[in-house]
Amino acid sequence: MGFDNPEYSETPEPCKELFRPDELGRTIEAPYHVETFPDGREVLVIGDPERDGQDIHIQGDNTYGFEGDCGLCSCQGILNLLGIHLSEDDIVRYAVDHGLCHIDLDPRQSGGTTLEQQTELLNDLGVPAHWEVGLSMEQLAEYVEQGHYMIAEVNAGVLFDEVQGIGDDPEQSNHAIVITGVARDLQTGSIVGFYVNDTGGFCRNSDGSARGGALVDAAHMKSGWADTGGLCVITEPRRSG
Amino acid sequence: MERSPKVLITYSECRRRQKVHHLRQHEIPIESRVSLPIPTLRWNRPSYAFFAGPGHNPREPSRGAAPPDRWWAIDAGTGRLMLYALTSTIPFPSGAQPESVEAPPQARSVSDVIETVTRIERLMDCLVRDFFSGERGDPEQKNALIGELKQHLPGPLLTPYQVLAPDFFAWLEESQPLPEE
Repeated sequence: MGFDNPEYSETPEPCKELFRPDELGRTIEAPYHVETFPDGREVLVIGDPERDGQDIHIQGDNTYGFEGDCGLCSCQGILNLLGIHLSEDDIVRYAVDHGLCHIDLDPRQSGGTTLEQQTELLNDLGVPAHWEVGLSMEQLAEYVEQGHYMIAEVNAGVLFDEVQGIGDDPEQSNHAIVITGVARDLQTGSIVGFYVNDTGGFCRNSDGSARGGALVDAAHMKSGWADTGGLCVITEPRRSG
Repeated sequence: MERSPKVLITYSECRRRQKVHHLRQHEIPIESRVSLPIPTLRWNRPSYAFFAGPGHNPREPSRGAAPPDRWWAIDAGTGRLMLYALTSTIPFPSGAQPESVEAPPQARSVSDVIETVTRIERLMDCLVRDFFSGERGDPEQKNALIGELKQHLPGPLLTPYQVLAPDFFAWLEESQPLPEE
């Protein structure tokens, strides 16, 4: 089992007295490499967030006019990463036809999904998945390290420090994002942050397009995801060959 | 009126449970804007009422709060679901469906909001037992709670709460000092 990208199949340079992947006490199935952050910190990046963040867009790009479809777009993103290429329109149509999303009188308010619907949709379209609640940050990181993609249900306002996105209760999830990687401090092994793909427009490039592979630091992941209940849809790990 | 059970679920415990409640897993879209719990005795037993509606829209982030599309209540004695309704089939109990509202501009930071909600939770934990058992409650705490709620949910954002739990707000207002002459 593992990823088939040879670029990331090598063991990072040995760093004596620094954190090593084998100190996790488990095999890392995902690709990983060492990276130096602008502040000089050396981190172990597990997953390939740069590659996995290349093909994302801002949600709402469908003929139904649905704009509240971050869960559907997250499913679409994972399906595409696993080689099942569908457009947002395809996934919205499938969800509408199979009763797998919320439909409001106002199409702009439509497209919302529950954990159950996201999971069912992924399973229907060929990606075995299940959901869990109450996950911890370490458990989320472990899933990344085992090569799983995940949809994390977050409070967007808290996670991305945007007060307009909080809603009434900062500890209720209100947005879905895809987790593609985790960064661990090379000195201590502690979680520095998670790499995410967001279709909600909270992470953008300078031209306004969606920016994939954004790093959300551990403190924001805790308050914006773990403290909202640690809700997550987990796909089976990608297998080589 | 049924007698209040001896052990009631606290406000903070109710809020904590709601994050992973089976309604959140199976019924309420993740994208929804879910309310804070609000205590009420309107169904003749201590309960916490909630509502939710479509939430943040990335294409129009300042559009405001959509009207609630569902509401529900949790029994404060047992923690079990008492009722769950879509407003398309069973409107708000008052019969008046709150409308979409403009969200007033937010001058607060995210950490300010979190701190305000923490204070609301703490005050609710102090006050709900008195409310459920028909006691008067501490006037200072009641005034403080009104102030925090109005700060966190300014203008029309508080209206659905008042519509859903008018008895609780009437009880809170009992302690309001008379305006100075």
